[in-house]
Formats: sequence, C-alpha cells, structure tokens
Amino acid sequence: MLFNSINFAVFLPIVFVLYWFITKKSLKDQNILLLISSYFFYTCWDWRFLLLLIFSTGLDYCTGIKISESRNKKRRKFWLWLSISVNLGFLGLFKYYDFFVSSFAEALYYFGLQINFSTLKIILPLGISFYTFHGLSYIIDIYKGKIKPERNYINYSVFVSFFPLLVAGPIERATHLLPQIQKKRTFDYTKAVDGLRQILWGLFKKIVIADQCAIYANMIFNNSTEFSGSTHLLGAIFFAFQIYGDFSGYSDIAIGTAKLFGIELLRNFAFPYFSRDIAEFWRRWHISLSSWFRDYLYIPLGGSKVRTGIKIRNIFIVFLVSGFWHGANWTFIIWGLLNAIYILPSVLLNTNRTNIDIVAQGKTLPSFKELFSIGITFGLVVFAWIFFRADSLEKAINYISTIFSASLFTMPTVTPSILFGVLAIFILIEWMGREQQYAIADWGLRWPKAVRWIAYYVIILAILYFTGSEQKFIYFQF
Amino acid sequence: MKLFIKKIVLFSAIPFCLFILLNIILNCINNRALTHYKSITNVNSIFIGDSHVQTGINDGLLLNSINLAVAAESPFFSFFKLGPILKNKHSFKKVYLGFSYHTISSYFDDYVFKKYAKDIPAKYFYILPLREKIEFMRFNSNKLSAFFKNIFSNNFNDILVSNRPFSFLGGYENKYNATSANKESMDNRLRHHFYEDGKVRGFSLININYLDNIIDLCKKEKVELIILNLPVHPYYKKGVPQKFIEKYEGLMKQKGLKVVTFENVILSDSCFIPNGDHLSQIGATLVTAELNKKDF
Repeated sequence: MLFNSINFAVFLPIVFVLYWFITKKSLKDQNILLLISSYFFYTCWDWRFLLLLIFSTGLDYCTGIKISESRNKKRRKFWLWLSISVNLGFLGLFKYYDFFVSSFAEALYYFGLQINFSTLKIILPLGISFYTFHGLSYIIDIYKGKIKPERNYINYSVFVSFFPLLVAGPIERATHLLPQIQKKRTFDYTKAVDGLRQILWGLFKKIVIADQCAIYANMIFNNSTEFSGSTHLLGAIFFAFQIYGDFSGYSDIAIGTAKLFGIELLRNFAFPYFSRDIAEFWRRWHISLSSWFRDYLYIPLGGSKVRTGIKIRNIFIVFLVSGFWHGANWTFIIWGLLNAIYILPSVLLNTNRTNIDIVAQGKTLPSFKELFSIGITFGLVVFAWIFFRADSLEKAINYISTIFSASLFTMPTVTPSILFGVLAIFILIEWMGREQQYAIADWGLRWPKAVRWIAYYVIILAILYFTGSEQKFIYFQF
Repeated sequence: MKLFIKKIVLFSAIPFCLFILLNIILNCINNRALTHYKSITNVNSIFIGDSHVQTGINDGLLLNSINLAVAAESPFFSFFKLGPILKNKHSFKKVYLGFSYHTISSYFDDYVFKKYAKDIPAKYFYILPLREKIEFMRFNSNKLSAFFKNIFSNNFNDILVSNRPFSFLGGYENKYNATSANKESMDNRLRHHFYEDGKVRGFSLININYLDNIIDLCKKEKVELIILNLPVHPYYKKGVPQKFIEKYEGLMKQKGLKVVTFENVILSDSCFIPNGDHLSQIGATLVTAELNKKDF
C-alpha cells in the first residue's frame, strides 16, 4: 500500500474516523486500533514478514524488561547483546548474506580458488532496516538508563510498528515517541490541518518532482552510452532531485499522517540542498538516521573528543556503515566513503559547526558567498549520488568519465522544458519556506483563506496532472 | 473535530462539483459531435475500424462515404461509436468494418481492458454507456487520476488545439509516401500481433463478441455490414499462424458475412509501410480505387 495510492487514500480516512469517533475515549482502544491498522498496512505488502516484525518486537520488549530488572552488570550486558545480535543477525541474513557470500567467492576467485557458494536470494522484508534501528535505540537507551522499559506490550508494539513510519522511517527514538503513545491523544484542529498540508506537500514532492525527475534520470542512467557528458550531468542532477523529492516527500507524508493522529514524528529533512557545507548537509539530510549514527555509533566510538587518528577512524566507520546500511552493494560503500572524505577537513579543522543557522535568515536572497558555497556543496553531493544511483562501480566510473569528457560542453540532448519550469518553481517555494518545518508550513498563517485554497487546488491539480508515472519509494528497498 | 470535517467536505466539494459539471459539459459536446453524422444526408457508406482502415481507405476518392476509423480501435469501441450514429433516422446504407486476422488476436485486448486501458478508452469515454464508463473507471481504479488526465487532455486537444473533429471520430490519415515493406519490421509486427513469450497467442473474445453485436446492430438498423480485409504484404500474410486464418474464415462463413478482399490487386513493396500490415499512400490509392470499382 503506497502512500500515493488509492488504497491508502481509502485506508487513511477509515482509520482516522475510527480513531477519533470510536476509540477517542480510551487510550488503550486508540493504541489497539493503531496497532491493528499498522499490522494491516504491513500485511498489504507481504504478510509473511509480519511474523518477523512481531518476533523482533517481542524480543526487544522482553530484553528491555530483562535489562531493567537485572541487578548484575554482566546479565544486563548479556540481554543487551542478545537483542543486538538477534536484531543485527536478522538484518545481516536478509540484507547482507548474499552480498558477503558473493564478495567472498569473488575474492577467492581472485586468488585462483573457484568455489560455488549458494546464495539465498531472499526477499528483503520491507522496513527491516528501520524497525531494527527503532528496536536497537530502545534497548541501548534502557541499558544506558536513559529510559525505563515500556511494560505495556501494545504501547511498545505501536512504537515499533506505527504505520506512517513503519516502512521507511523517520527512525524514531523511544524518548520521543513512547511518551506520546503512553498518553491519550485529543484532537487538535491546527495540528490536523498542518498534517494535511504536509501530506499535500509530500505528495507534490513525490509525484511532481521525484517521479518526473525519475523518468529522465532512469532514461539517462540506463542508457548512458547514448548520451553526451552534459546530458550525463543533467541526469545526475535529476537524480539528486528525484531522491530528495522521493524520500523527503515520503517523510512529509509520514509526519503529516502521524499529525492526523495527534502524534509528532521526528523531522527528517531540513532543506538539505541549501546547505553551505557538507557537515550542514548531513545535519539536514535524513536527520533521523544521521542523528542515530551520531548517538549510537559515533559518540560511543569516542566522537570528536579523541586524538586525530581515532577521530578520522570514527568518521570513516560512521560513513561506511551509513553507506552499507543503504544496501549491500559496493556503490553504497563508495558513496559513504566519499562523504567521509568530504566531511573530514571540516571535522579536523573544527569548522563543521560553522553553518548551524538557516542560510540567509530573514533575507530574501543569499549573498554571493552563500550562493557559491551552496553551489559547491550541491556539486559534491550530486557527484556522490552518481555512485548511489549506479548499478555497479564500473557503471559509475564510466558515467563520471563521460561527464568529464569534451562532450560536457555540448548542448544536452534531453531538455524537458516543463520539468525545468516545475523544478524552478519548486526550488523557489522551498527557498521561500526554508525557515519553516516544511516549505508550505506557514501558508496557513500568511495568506487569506481564498488565496490559500487556490494555492492548494493548484498543487492538487499539478499532482493529478503528473500522476501516471508512479515509481516505488526509493527508500523502501533499504 | 466537526469543524475539521466540515472544512474537508467544503474543500473537496468545490472541485468535486466542478469535476461533475465539466464531465456533464464534455459528455454533451462529445455526443453531439458523434450524432452530427446523422445530419449529413449525402453519406451512404461508413468505414470503421482501426489504423488499417484509417490509413487504407481514402474516402476523398469515394463518393458519399466517410472514413471514421481510428488507430487501435477495436470492434468494442466501433460498436459504441456506431450505436448513436445508426440510431433513429439516418441516411446510411452500408457499414464497412475493418476486420482482419490480427483483429481476432488476444493482443487487441490490451487496447480495451488491459495494458492500454487508461489510454485508448479515454478517447471514447463520453460516448460509452454508463455501465461501460463505470467498468473502465473500476478497471482503472488504481490509476484513476491518470485515466481522467488522459480523458481531459484528449478533450482539451480536440476542442481547443486540434483543428480536426474529435479524435474518436478518426478519418483518413496516411503520412507514408515513400516507404517500403521491410522483413525485420514485418517479423516484429508478426511477433507483436500473434505471439506472446514465444507462444502463439489466443483469440480475442471481446472482439469476436462485439463483432456479433455489430452484426445485430446493423441488422436492427437495416444497414448492410461489409467486412473489409485489407491487403497485407505477402511475407506478413505467410507469417500469420494458420489457427488465426482458419478461425477468421470460419467466423466469416459461420456468420454469413460479406467480405471484401483485394487478392487480385498487385501491390509492390512500396504500397506498404515497413511493418507490412498497413498501406502506404500509394497502396491506399490503389486499394480505394479497387474498392470503388468493386463495391460502389
């Protein structure tokens, strides 16, 4: 059940009406309804993996209580590592087993040994990377004494499986989401309207921006031998907008949907393409994952308060793991490595927190210096995206070598003028709304009702007009 | 909560009402365009069918006739087009229906309820009866907005941009004036028409059923139905699986239909477009002249 499908458009209002009319008086009923809806939502993808989700939920629920009840440090550690190893074991089995086996076989072949290992060719359970990280953060927080375990199984299950975030995040923290689940929600008109507005903007990003860019990005990446360097460059830029529109659009729909049920989810994107350096980009891109790695990997490794060599090691570990988290392919690892190289100078020179404010705050236009920095950062990000998008390292290298050929200075052969226009309007709206949670968040406050409604109708018409070339959400594969 | 629901309903009601109004207007415009043909008193013969008839019969060379064929039009849509035209008072005496070997292949079902269900039916949407309208909406329920986008963009083009009549009305159109049949292209065409995953396709039950419906309609409206089996390149003809030839001949015999063929016309390679199953401008001129001699 995709967020941009008719099925979801039917499912959501039904759950909404039941939630606020039938179960509004009891917290228990609200959470039971959310859990049933979430499991139903998940089984629409593949019912077989529901058991895995329930098992993972049950395991973390039990180990959480066990950790909290154990007086002995060794026992606490045992339960912690049991949960971590089972969770990561499932993730490794489903997501990385085939990759490791085939890479090992290739390495042996390189040394003259030809051994046929059989790969499992198993389907990746939807959302496993996301709910595994939910569970891990919960267990680690209990172990560290930051939170107490949730003893109500329904509440904990809703925390793991809440349908808006189940398949592609944002990756929530127990400290943020569980208290909201433990309290009865009451209907808040402003929050609900804000949620709808954010869903609308998310759909616009997904259908109008991402899916349209995908048509051209796919065409150029899949037939790269036929196009010039300038077209390749354009293809990489289209992919940059595709992945941003796709994932931030998904996140907006997820956050907006949660608001309809009176629940606030973590922010996942904060206009990353207006970043002035890579460190700022990573504070604004997939925020819930970046902060997860910061809190549960980078800081435990020593963070930046260690000697230079260790600091460099930590950065490389975090970005390599981040690349690997995205998928079992060398392209993702190189993508992570590139980002580590990008960010390294600013961490070593301690300039990684230079740009923590909003670019050109309170101004209409950026300064020339800011514009230049944004351009350079965007260029670096686009370059790294080529590895993220390419099917193999060889293809990525060929793609890049075509960009840096003489044909870079020819006119691109793919020039979708409507898409250029739409992208220009999109960038303008995002720029104007960059001080908000999402680009059109303040439309409700700024504009009179008639103007606002016309603007919403225009967005809806654009969504309807561009419907028809739906692509799956990219992050569902992770 | 009540305020929220009220506002949602109001917000949705405005475009919903506009949507309904637009549909009513387009429904009227489309149906008026269709029945307009009844008022043309000097037209005796209607040519109807898919791109084979559209490119093959130059109605400008024939007296008192009109070509209403449209690319990819299956007998399913031809039936619903003919219905309002032949209903009540009219001057028509003959209906020429393009019906060939490929028409009975299951590949044609893609153009009705399968692969192109959101594209081809969009052209005919307003002239279809309510039951079929609902059926297509139900079939396209997963891509309903794309379906309506096609409906509206077709109508937008027909009414505001194109200087031709409505696209579902078709008409003679042939852009091929210096072409020649080509074996590779004919092989591709044969594969497309008659094979799926390397196996010979089945028959199109929709098209066979709607041939029956057209026969009944013509009988009821007292119009002679003539089947046009337009020429194809000999190489293409040789490649048509025997089961389709047998089925086709069996159908024509069983239903007692008059079939016009053009076996005595000598057509060179230049009379065809590369795929060998459509006529070029030269071919269309020769075939239309032959039809004029034969049947007019």
